[in-house]
Amino acid sequence: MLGRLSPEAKETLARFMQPSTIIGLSILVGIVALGVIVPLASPYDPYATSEDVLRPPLSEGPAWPYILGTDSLGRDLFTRIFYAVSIDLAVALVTVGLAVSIGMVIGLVSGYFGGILDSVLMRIMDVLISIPGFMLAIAVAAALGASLFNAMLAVAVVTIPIYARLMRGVTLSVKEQLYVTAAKEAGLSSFRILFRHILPNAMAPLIVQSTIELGNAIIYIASLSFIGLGAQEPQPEWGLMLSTGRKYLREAWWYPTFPGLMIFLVVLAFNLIGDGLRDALDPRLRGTLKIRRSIVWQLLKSET
Amino acid sequence: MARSILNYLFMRLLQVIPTVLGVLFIVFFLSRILPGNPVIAILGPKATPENIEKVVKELGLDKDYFTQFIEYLGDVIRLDFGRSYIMNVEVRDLLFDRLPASFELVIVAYILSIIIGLPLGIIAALKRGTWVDDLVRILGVIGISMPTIWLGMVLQIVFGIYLGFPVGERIDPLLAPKKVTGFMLIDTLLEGNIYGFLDALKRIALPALTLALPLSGLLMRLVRTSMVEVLLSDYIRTAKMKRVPRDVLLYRHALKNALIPVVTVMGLYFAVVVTGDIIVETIFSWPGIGRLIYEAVLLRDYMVIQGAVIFISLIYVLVNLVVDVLYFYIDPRIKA
Repeated sequence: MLGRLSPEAKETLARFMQPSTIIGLSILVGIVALGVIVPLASPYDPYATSEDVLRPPLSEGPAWPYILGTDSLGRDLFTRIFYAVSIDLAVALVTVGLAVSIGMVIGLVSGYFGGILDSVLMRIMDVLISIPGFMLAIAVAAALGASLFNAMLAVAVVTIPIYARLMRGVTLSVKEQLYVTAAKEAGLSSFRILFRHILPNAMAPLIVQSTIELGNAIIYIASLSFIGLGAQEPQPEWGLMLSTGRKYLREAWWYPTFPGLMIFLVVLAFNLIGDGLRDALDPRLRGTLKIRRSIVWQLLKSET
Repeated sequence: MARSILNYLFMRLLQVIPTVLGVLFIVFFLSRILPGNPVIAILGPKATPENIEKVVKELGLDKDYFTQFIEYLGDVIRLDFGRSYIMNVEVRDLLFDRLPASFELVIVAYILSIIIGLPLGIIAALKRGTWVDDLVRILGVIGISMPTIWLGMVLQIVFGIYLGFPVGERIDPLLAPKKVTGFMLIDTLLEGNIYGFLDALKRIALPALTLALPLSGLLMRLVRTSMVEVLLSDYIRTAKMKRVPRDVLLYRHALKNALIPVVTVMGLYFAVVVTGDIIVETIFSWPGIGRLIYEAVLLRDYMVIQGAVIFISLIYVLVNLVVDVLYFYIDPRIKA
């Protein structure tokens, strides 16, 4: 199949096939595949609790047929963990999607039109970024009420400045370029210029950043669930499972361990893919991480 | 020189004002959009009508929003975060009571992460392109991907349950020292209480490690990158040509520059720590501010949550201010 590709296409493909991207993608594809297959194939209901003596709460640990053991209500942990894949991933995608779209528009408008609008918007972003993200997310989630949806909103709000700043930087750097001036002279609408001529320049860094942020969003949401401000029982969500599992550390090590392992693997996958994409899309940064304060900032802001 | 520092400091302080105002505004705004009545959020769901009326008067909630905000500003300037009706204490007292525990944890975690991250980052940069470098990069990405919620529990299962490390609280109550600095590790030493010191050290080790490992992953990557950048720079090449001895070259020229991001991390670390801290203190029953926030969330005690958010944001803004001033001393390029 590869034989039919043009040499350029092959080269591009080779550029994207960084070892870290491959490893990251394999982990992710594996987990997603299981996340699709397990709910379809598992004989167990993730919500059905049990008082059956043959399926006691916190069974003897991982043993056939409960590969990863059962939880405190006798639910099969393996089934629940993979039911959670679609929930956790969807939550991360929506959260990041929301933050990217809002942040992108703010950055574009701010950078392109400049002036008072720019100062006001950027001051707001500065304020948002100067509150430790998770604290703000807690305040927002606590004010809105504990639910998975509100946790997503909270995390999205907190991460908007990352994309707004990124987008503004790119917009500022290209808006004086000849082709943008030409487009303006030709009488194209600002809307068209912004989305057709300026936005494409930002795609590479935006993609890299949001890939890494997907992992962070999962950690954020899981952490909010962990302290009781995210998913609510009986929703199968990793952070919530960890939180409940914590009460049974002594009796059932598997209960908190496996959901946590899933979070780790997914985050690792996104980080590896993000690193790989960064190397592929921006050869100047190959193998390095540009040390500018703003970037260190973003990194930290997004670390959990 | 002195004047330029003062100038810089002044400008930097001016920048802090809108930020702090913004933080206060956001928190104020959030507390007013609480579903239902903010008073119910403050008093808890079991509030009686008389109490509600009393609190509305007390907090001035019957006045208009602008007056409310101004009064609120005045309170915060006096570090008055109001009263927790649910825990029945002044929020300020709660916060100051819990602060030393969190500070101690953060400092120990920070030291640990430097001990782990700095040498590995340097080695990776010096052996760039070899398997050592690859290994450090792998460790780094594993480190930054490690969710605190999970790492903490795994450490607790392995060390706490299977290896019998004491977990929870800062020290065995029988060994507790008199409060001098509020830092257990220092207070026990001041008393010459070696057993107490060792106990406190064992108890702080796991939570500190949980906070430190992800950070050291980040530190490793930052140090490696900045070292590589410096090592490939013109002035190092010049120094090499001038036959500056390798050790001097590495330690005086390269390392010094590579430490700049480390200082940045030191300041910005706070955002990370606050996040991790809430989780870590919860997992290890560490009686700091993070644990307080968790308790407040459980009790739906919005006064405490709100106070803690402001308090931590203020500390965070201050820490960053200090880092910027440190920068001024470390990095001569900023002075221009």
